[in-house]
Amino acid sequence: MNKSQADVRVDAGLVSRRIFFDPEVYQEELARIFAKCWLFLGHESQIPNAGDYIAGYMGEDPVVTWRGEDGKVRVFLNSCRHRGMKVCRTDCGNAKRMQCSFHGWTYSTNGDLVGVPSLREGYRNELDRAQWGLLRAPKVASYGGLVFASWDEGAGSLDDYLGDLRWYVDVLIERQLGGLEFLPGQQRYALKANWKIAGENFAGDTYHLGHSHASLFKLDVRQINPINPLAYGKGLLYNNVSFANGHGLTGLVTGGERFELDLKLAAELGPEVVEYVRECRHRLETRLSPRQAALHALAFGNVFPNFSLNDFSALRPIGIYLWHPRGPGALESWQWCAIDAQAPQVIKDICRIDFPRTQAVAGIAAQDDTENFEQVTEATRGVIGRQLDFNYQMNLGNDAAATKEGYPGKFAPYVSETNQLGFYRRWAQLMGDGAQRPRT
Amino acid sequence: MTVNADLQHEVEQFLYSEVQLLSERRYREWLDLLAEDIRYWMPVRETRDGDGNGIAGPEGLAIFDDDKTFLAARVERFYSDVAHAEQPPSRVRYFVSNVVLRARGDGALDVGCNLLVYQARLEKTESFFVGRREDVLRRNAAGGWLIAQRKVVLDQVLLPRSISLFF
Repeated sequence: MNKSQADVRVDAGLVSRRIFFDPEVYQEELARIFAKCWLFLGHESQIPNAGDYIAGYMGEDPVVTWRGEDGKVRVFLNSCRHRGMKVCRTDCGNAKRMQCSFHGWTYSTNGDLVGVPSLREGYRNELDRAQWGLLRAPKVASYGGLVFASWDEGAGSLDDYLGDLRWYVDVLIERQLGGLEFLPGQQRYALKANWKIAGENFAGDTYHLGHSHASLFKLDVRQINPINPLAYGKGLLYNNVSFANGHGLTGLVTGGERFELDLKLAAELGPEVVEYVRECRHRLETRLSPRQAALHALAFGNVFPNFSLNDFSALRPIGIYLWHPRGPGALESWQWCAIDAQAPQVIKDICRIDFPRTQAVAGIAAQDDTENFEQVTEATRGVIGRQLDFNYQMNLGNDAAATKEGYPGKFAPYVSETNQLGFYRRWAQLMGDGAQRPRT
Repeated sequence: MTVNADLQHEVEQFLYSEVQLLSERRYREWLDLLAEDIRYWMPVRETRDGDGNGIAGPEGLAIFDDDKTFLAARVERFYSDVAHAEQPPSRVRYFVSNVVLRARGDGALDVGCNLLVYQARLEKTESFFVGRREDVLRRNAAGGWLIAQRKVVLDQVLLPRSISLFF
C-alpha cells in the first residue's frame, strides 16, 4: 500500500489497526502521551500522614507519590539518580527517608539527596548533591483528593486539562458527604491487550454491553444484589458526552431518574439509607447547579488517556481503573474501590462486597472484557490484519445536534461511537507526525 | 475430633475430589460441598514494609467476597453459553499439597493447603495462580464434609490475568 495516510480518520470513522500493534507507535505514545498528559496516581486518603507514600507508574516509568514532612504531595521517578535502582520497592508505607538498596544513596521526602556513602573518600566531597536529587514530576495537582501529575513542565493546569469534563465529575466528587475514601488495597492484573482498547471502552462503548456482557442480563440480578446496576434504568434516556481533550462519559441521565432510583432502592435498605440519599441530593443542590444535581451519578467514563471510572449510584462502589501500558500488546489493570467516607455502614458493606463481583479482576463483567480485548490485540499482529481499519462508523454523521442546551461537552446518542472517535482524535493530535507514518 | 493418619487421609481425599469437580466444571456438584453460610473470600495483597505480607483485612479490598447465592450465580453464568471468558471452557488443572489439619473446639477442622492452579485457554493463553487456602470443614449430616469457610490468599500481587475460575 505504501501510501502515507493518517492512522486516525475521524470523519470516516476509521482507525488503523496498526496503532494497536506497532512497537514504534507505542514508543511514540510513551513520549507524546504518557510523558505529556496529566496522569492519575491515587487518592490523598491513601497517604494522609507526612511520609506516607504509594508506588505507581506514569506510563512505564515507576514513580512514588510521597507526602512530605511539610504535608505537600510530590511525585518522583522511582529510580536512584546514581545507577537507577528503584528506591522504593514496596507498594505503600511510610518513610521519612528512602535509601537505595544498591549503593546506599538516601533521599528525603522532598527528593533531596541527603546521604551518600563514601562522600569524602569516594567523591572528595565534590559531588554536587543538589544536582542529584530524585527526579520530580514538575506538575502535581489534586482534584477532590484525586492526585494527578504530568512530566510536562509546559502542561496547563489540571483544571484546564479536565476542561468541561469537570462539570460532570464534580457531581461524583461533591455528592460524597465525607469525601472519597479508597478501600485499603488494590487489584492488579495483566492483560495481553493494547491499553487503548480498555481506555476507549470506558470512554463510550455502550454497544458492547448487551453482547459482551449478555451473560449478566440472563441472571436474576435482584436476587444477587438488590442494588445491582443491571436492575437499573430500563427505558431511561442515556446520553454519551465527549470532550475536547479526549475524555468521554457515557450513560448520563439528565432527568433526575438516577436519584429517584436510588431513593427506591434505599427504601428497601431502611430509613437511614433513604436519609443518606436525600442528604447527598441536598449537598449537590447546595453546591452545584440544578442540572448537575439532577444527574446524581455518572455511569462510566474515561479521563484521557488511561484513567477510567464508574459511578452508577450513591449506593454502589465507585470503581477507579488505571490501564498502564506495558508494550503494544500488553497492559496492567490497577483498580481501586472508592466509597463515601460518611456513607452508612450498610452501604459501605454493600460497596465492599459489590465491587469485586462486577467490574473487577474476578468480576462477572471484567472477565469477558479480558477475553475480547486480548483476542482483538492478537488479531491485529499479522501483516494482513494490521493494514485494515477498525470501524467506528456507528451513528457517524447523525450527531448534528451534538449539543444539549445547558450542558457542556459534545452529546451523542447512547449507542454511538462518537466518544471513541473523540478519544482517537485527541490521540492523533498528540501523536502529530508520529501517527502519519507510511503504511507497510 | 482427633487428627490422625486416617483423618488426614480422608480430608486429603476430600480435597482431591473437590478440585476434580472444579477441573471438570461440575460446578453444581461443587456447590453442594459448600455450606449455606459460607464466606468465600480472597483478599487482595500488596507488598508492604516489614514482613511484606500485606494481606488486606476483612474491611479491605477483596478479589472474591461471595456468599453461596452469588457463587451459584457465577455458576449459572458459566453455564449460560454467553460467558465469553469461559466459552469455550479453559482447561484447568489443580494441585493441592501441604495439607495441614487442626481440630477446632467446635468440632470442625481448620484445613490449610497449598494450591497451584494452571489454566490453559484457547490456543496459547496460559496462567498460573499460586497460593494458600485456609478452610473450615465440618461434617455434614451424611458423615461427609462441608466447606464452611474458605479463605484463599494468592502469592501474586500482579495477577497473571483476570479470573474466570474458582479456587
